[in-house]
Amino acid sequence: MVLEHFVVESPETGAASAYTDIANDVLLDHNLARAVEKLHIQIDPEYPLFLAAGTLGRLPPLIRLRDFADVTFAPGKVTLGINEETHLATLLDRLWSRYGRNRVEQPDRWTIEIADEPDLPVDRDLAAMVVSDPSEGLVRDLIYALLSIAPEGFRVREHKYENGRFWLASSENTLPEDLPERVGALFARMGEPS
Amino acid sequence: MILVPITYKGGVYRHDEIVDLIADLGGYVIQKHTLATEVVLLCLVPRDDIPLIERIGRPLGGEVQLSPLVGTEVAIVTPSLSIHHLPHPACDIAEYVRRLGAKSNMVGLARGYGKRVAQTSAEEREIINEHDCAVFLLGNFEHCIKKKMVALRRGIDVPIILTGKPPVEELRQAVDPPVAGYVGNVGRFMHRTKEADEIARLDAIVAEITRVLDLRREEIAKDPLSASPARLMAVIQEQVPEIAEVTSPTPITVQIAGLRVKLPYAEYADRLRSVEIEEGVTIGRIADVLPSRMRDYILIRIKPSSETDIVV
Repeated sequence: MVLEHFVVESPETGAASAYTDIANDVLLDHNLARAVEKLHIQIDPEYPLFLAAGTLGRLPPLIRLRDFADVTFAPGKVTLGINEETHLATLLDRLWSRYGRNRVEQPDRWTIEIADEPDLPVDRDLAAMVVSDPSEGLVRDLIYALLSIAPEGFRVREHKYENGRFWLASSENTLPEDLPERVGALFARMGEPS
Repeated sequence: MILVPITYKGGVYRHDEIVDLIADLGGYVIQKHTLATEVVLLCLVPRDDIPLIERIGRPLGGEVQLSPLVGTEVAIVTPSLSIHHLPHPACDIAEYVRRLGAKSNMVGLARGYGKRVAQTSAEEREIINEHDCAVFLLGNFEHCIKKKMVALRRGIDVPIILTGKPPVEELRQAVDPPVAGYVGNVGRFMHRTKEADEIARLDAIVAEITRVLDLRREEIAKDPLSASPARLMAVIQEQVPEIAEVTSPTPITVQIAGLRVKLPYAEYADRLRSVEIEEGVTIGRIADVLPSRMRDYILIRIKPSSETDIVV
């Protein structure tokens, strides 16, 4: 696994090497090895505290309607010609919530029609609508993977993801009060602004 | 006559001749697996007759190996059944131990994780105590093993084999009073054991289980059992034909000093007690027939001859 920064620290050296292997296996199993750019894990069995912080690499782009459908405006209706079905269910959900079920019809597998009414017009920039954000699933998988890496007894947890940076802390006791400082220090050691 | 545990592997063709031979020699087939065209027999046979079995089995493509774990039931205890501990390493170890003849049962504790909160329930302790020995698979931190073993071992009467990431010496120092066996460099990992060094670790676990169980056998030999568990198995198979209808892979599990019979206790306990072994000696006379905590099975614990004054 090639990460720009990958360090596991613990007062017990044998445990640190074991957790390096565990982190390696879990990230590979969840197909996250290429998504994660930096990862720094600290485990203190005395407190006990598991702290992981890192950054993601290049995030996958947002999926917009124009990426998989052709949008045609005609008097009274807007027709969407679907080229690829992967995001169809999500698209229908978004259209139903925006325009209502009575205005959205799907006459066949590859076509969606939206009634364009003068008092409730369809957005002229519909093709640019964001249908799905692949990074949402990625972050969910990442947090699940970090929980799999952390020792199981550490049930008090807190995690955060923002702008490609993530951290997760877990413990058997309440989390330490200086957690933000500890997280900041970890990012600083990775060469990231704390 | 000293019975030795062996595994016979050979073709299905004419394997019944081997089964008959083992019975004629006074041995017992503990378990039989038929896998496509291959048959695997886990047996106890007289030590002096092993060359004879090898000679008769050779034209049938048969091989004989000593399997010291045949006729034992081992509990593989993991702190929980979550993704953190299963399937690796717990299932890998349980499967490897089975390959060498033991009947292994996985015991996933409900609250075995965490150094401060780890504990076992009365039911878990009783189930573990029904086995010949228990292998505790703990994690990577010596500090945590030291803290939680105090709680996990409480109420466990069978020999414990402790495994973890720290080396054996550190494990030995971490646990007081000492347990029966230690295997270091195992701990928690999340990939299948297939490299040579990983298989060597599994072999180390098997060697330690064998050593601990040999000590147990020596202990029992000082005051021999009133009957051999394998003999009781054969008697039950003969006199309680309903056991043949049980679909479990081992309807009767042989242990070092007892048996687990997979029939409902309420219906069959009295019948088993009255099964005659020979000349008026019944199972009820030389053994305790108890309800098992595992489903509604029956647990037979054979009494030592000093208690019954009988050896059959």
